Amino acid sequence: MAIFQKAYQGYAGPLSPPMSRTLVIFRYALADVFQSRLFVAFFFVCLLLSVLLMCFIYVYHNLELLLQFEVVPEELMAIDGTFFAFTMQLPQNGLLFLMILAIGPTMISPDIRNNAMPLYLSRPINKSSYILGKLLVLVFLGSLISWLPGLLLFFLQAYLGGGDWLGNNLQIPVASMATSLTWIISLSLLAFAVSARVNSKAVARIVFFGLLMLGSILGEVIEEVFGGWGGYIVNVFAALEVLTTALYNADPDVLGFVPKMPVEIAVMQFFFLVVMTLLILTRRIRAFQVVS
Amino acid sequence: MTIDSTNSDDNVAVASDEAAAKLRPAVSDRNVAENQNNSATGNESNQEFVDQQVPVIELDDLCVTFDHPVLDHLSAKMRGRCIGLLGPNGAGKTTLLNTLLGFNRPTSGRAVILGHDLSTDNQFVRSMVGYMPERDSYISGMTGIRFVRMMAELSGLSPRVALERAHEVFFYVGLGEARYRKIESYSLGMKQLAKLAQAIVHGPKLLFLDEPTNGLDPPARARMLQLIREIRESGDTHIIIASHLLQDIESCCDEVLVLKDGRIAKYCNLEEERRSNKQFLLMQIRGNENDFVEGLRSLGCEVAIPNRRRIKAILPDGVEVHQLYALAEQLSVQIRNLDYKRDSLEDIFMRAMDDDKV
Repeated sequence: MAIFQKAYQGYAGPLSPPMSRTLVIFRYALADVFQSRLFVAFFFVCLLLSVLLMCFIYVYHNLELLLQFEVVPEELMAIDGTFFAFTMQLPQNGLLFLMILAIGPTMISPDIRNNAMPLYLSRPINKSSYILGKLLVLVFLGSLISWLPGLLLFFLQAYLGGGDWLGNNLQIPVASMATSLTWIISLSLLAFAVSARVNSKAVARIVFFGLLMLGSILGEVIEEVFGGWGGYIVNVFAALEVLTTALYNADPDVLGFVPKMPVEIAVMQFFFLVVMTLLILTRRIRAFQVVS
Repeated sequence: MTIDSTNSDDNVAVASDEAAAKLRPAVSDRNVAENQNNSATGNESNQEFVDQQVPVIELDDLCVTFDHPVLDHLSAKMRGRCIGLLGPNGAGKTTLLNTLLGFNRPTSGRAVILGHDLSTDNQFVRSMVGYMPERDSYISGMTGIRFVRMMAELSGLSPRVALERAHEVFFYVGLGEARYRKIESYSLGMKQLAKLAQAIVHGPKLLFLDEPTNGLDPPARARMLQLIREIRESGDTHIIIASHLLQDIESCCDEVLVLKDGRIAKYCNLEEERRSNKQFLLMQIRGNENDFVEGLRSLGCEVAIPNRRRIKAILPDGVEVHQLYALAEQLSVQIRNLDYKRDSLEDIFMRAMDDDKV
């Protein structure tokens, strides 16, 4: 079907493996995300945190520099699970929230609004591939600003801190990865579920933000009225704090107020959130609308 | 020659062997070559060849039910190069298309596309089909070329080949100059062409077109129909068109499937159907109409007078046209005009709608 011939011709060449179709969605969605200069700027700002922490760890182990800055090493916070949780994970959680707030609620709604789902689903991909392709964008970007630099920081500290430190803090890379991925996946799916229900990008962002804030406020109110930790069941931020503290084996007093909720409940909260959002997505993402 | 074998009890519609043999181009080139050798050995081998042909679409007691039956025990073997889906609103055309695309799961029965069962080979079937939806469908924020390239990659083409074919197909449908514009800035006609472009970019074996001329002005409609005919003539692709517009179907399709209340009201090869009604004559006369009509009836003709001075007659076997002239001379009637009447698709459709039974 050469352009100059302007005649239709079929295609009999090789086809890519079915699994690679998910990556097509990922690749195009990723390119769309980086069309926004504002997001690119935000993304690089997110990376600055890790650079700053890397500098801190380097200086922490450089006695000459510390003396030049007139800092006594013993006065500095010890680098351990609590340090990583407090200086790295908690800020990263906030950055991940902002990142997902910026792009998550806008990823599905344009396709539904413009009736693009039949175009996707008439091809050899299914709903799961579609959702996974979109999810991979947020997982990829989120990983780049959270647990991947976290691993770098960990190995830098292990290199400078020695074998003993490494042996005593092996939970840190696992905690960084597990906490970040749990937060990214659950928030992304919630953002997608909102995006699948709300057509307008701006409104979808507001609804996403509002849902999380509402859960947080409601949790606080229930906790104030009834006491105990029951109120935190609807507060996903509280669940994240509990999970972070438990996985990093961190000191709750250093991290601030951490709800005294069993970590199993926090895990169940995220599990429930993921299941609910997947249910909504599978109901909303379909090739045609049933008119009753 | 008639399209027969329509079993009213089972709602089965199958083109006759003879008709199927005439639709030989419906199979792949390789099959055609093989079967041309076979057909030379006579009718028996020709019959074998027909039996070996893989229908484009085979419906086997297919039922789809939402809160009520929408498709009701459909059975058919369709072998045409371009098949029209006709029917009034709510007849089940779009549901049938959606089912063939794998969007709906059949309640019972099965559908087989180009020899592959939808229930087991759904993903493979989707790699062979292209779909142009009725409604506006696009991915916002994308240029036309990027949109079509992405669709080609999703169908399995490599990024390089997808880009190449996206350019080619844009020029083919006539949007070459607009391919770097955002799709949302396209006019309605351009969006229709872009939808066609994404449906054919990967060279599907089977192309589903749902109301392809919706909302198009006459020149754009003519252009769309011309493209569909060209794709059909290329021999690479089978086409299924769902449309309300009988003229569109008539100008593009060689077979039609008429649906009514979720059942098959008629399935036929258009050319065969028209040829079977060759004996219809439409006459305009001057003179004693009643005597002439009586005379025609005495010859065994079925006669109808659709409007003044026009007589529609069906000649029985053995009666020739010159006998009509002889009758006219005998009754001093002038035959001012005499035409063979060919059934239009509208006639076929209206008859199908009138018949409760297939």
